[in-house]
Amino acid sequence: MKLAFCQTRIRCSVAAAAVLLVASLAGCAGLGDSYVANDCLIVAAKAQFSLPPSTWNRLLVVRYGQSSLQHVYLVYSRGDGMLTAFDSAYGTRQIATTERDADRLARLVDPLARSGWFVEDNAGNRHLAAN
Amino acid sequence: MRIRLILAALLGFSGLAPAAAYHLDAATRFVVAAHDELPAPIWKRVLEVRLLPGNTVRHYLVFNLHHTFFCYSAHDGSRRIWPAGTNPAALARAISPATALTASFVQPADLRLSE
Repeated sequence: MKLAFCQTRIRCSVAAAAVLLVASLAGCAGLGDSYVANDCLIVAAKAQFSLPPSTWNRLLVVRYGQSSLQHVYLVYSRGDGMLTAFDSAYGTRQIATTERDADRLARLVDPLARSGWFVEDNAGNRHLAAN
Repeated sequence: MRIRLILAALLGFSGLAPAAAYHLDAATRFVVAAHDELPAPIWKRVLEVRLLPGNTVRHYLVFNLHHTFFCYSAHDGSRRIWPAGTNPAALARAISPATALTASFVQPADLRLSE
């Protein structure tokens, strides 16, 4: 089932390799636990829980073409016409938009994206994450 | 031998001795770290899958975000899965195409202490 957040594999695997290297060096040096899960979905989900309940927010999974490459952003707005996009690779960015459609938002947030879906809104749509 | 013991004790007291978690393989350490990263209200389990034959052990973090199930491993990151249930066997079947396997939930703290 090749439906993975493969963007995680691309963007985060480089970072993960670096973390593994640093962590292994730290482990050799006995510097204590330094492992951080930098998976884009886990980072975004953790950030989502830090937002006030009144904030409109979604976990936006963006897809790149027909491939299974995906990446996850936390998008949120406090209703002032500005949207904040947060992800594990680029951090926080502000975008002036009131767009709420996942596909269109994906292209706004990530110029390389072809489409997107909200984790919150697509629990039953199996085909969206297939292939 | 005695010098080694004294050295180990000194390192232990100084906090420089490797923690117990360092005896876990890197992939499992990342799963444990991911488990710790996810906020407590999220349903999450560390799944231990044993592939047969050979008894190869793999650990995955399985979690439920907004009624959508995902599994995380250090090699693949997070990916969406469609388990038929929330028991270990159903989750393992959704994660791995291997038919010959056994699966169980494990506590991250037990993984840290087991090595």
